[in-house]
Order: sequence, then structure tokens, then C-alpha cells
Amino acid sequence: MREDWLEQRLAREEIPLPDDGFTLRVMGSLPPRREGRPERRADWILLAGTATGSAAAAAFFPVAPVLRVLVEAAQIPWIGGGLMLGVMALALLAEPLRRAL
Amino acid sequence: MMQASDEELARRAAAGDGRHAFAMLVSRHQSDVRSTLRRLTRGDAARADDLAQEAFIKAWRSIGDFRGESSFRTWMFRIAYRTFLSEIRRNEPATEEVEEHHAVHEDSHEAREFMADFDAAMRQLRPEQRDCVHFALQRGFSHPEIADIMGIPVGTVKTHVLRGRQRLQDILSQWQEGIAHA
Repeated sequence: MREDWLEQRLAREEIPLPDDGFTLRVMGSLPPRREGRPERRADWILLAGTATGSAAAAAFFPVAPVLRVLVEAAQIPWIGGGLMLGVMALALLAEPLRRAL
Repeated sequence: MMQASDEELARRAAAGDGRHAFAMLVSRHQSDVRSTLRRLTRGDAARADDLAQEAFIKAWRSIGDFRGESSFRTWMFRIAYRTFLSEIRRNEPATEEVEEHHAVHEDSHEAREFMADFDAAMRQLRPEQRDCVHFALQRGFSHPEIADIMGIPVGTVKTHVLRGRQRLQDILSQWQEGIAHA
């Protein structure tokens, strides 16, 4: 007996299911296509949020003294290391956050 | 005229409105997807059609993500299989076994009997093994494609298909010998 007799027999016996209006039902229930890719929309939301936040921070907070303090603090090894780790953590979190949006 | 490939239709469906291209994809694959879901739902045709509809709607929503890394057919079956699994997780699996009705050549009594025997033999396999055997023997998917659809390792698929097919052949041969000796 041939090795593939079962496949051959199944292929011979099974015939395709008639459509019976199935395709029409599916097409009638499709939601409208959303404008733009969701991922791209999320990118724009993040970009706009970051720009707005940065502009607000620059306008309302004394940026220069804060930067001076940060530069001085960064020269202390454990603070500098902590800042670097913080930046790395933020970079790692950016992608999951983008996906979540 | 040459027929557009699935991948070409998927590309057209993703661009702009693309409803016509998507309708062609649904029409082309509805039979296989619905038949498979009928098997997975143990012959519950209405539930299988609802799941198939849900799967095609999911495919429409995410057609822009189809990159052609697998064939459209494999991608579509992966969506259908996962739709089925999510439905099982949402609801308790049906305990009642409905007799499966296959579309077989109506004039063949022997064909109907063979398919009934085949179904009975399939029920003796474990669910995951049964699904692997179905995808391999009845849908003609390769082992890596089945692994992709079911989200399991290729090695596991190979083992399931090999042992499952052997067991089916043994059972069916025994029954046929039994009939011949009777």
C-alpha cells in the first residue's frame, strides 16, 4: 500500500464547501478602513506630546539653573551613572509605550 | 487571463479601500477555513461559520501588517486557529459531540462511510495531534507552516503528524480488514 494513500483518499473524497453567501456576509460586516496606520498615528501622538511638554517646560521653568545643577551633579560618579541608567531605561520603555498607544 | 496571486490581492486589499481584492481572498479561502473550523468545533457548522467570519474580519483589520513572510493562506489559517483558541478560552469547550457532515461526493455511499470512519479514527487522537494531522493531511500544509499556524515547535509538529498518521492508518486498515472478513 502506498505511503500517502490516506492523503490521496481524503483529497478525492472531500469537495469544497459551497460559498452559500458567506463571502457576502463577511463583506457586509467589514468595518470601514481606519485612516492611516495605527502605529503611525501613535508615533505622531508621542512626537506631539514630547514637543508640547518640552515647550511648556522651556516656557515655565528656569531651564538654565536646572541644567547647571544637572551638569554639576553628573560629574559626581554615582549620580552620573544613575542618570545614564535612567536615560537607558527610558529608551527601553519608549518602544513598549509606543506599542501600547 | 492569469489569476492574481493571494499575496498580490493582499497587497491591493491593504492599499486604499481594497474591498474588491479582499472579497476575492475571502471567496478563495472560505471553503478551507470553514471546513477546518467545522472540524475544530466538532461539526458545529453555525459556530464554525461565525468563527470564520470573525477571523476574516480580523484579517481585514490587520491586512496592512501582512508582510508576505509566510503565504497568505498560512497567515489566514493562523488567524482562524487563534480565533478558535480565544473562543475556547472565553467559553467552556462544548462537551457535546456533534456528528460531522463533510461535503463529499453525494453519489458515493462509500465516500460518506470512509469519511465517517476517518472522523471516528481522528477522535481517537489527542486534540493537538489531531489538529496537526488535519493541517497536514487535509489542508496540505508543510510542517513549518503548521508550526507557524499553531504556534508550536516544528519538531513537535513532525512527531504529531508522524505518529498521528500511523495511528490513523492502523485504525482504518483494521476496520477495513474487519469489514472484509465479515
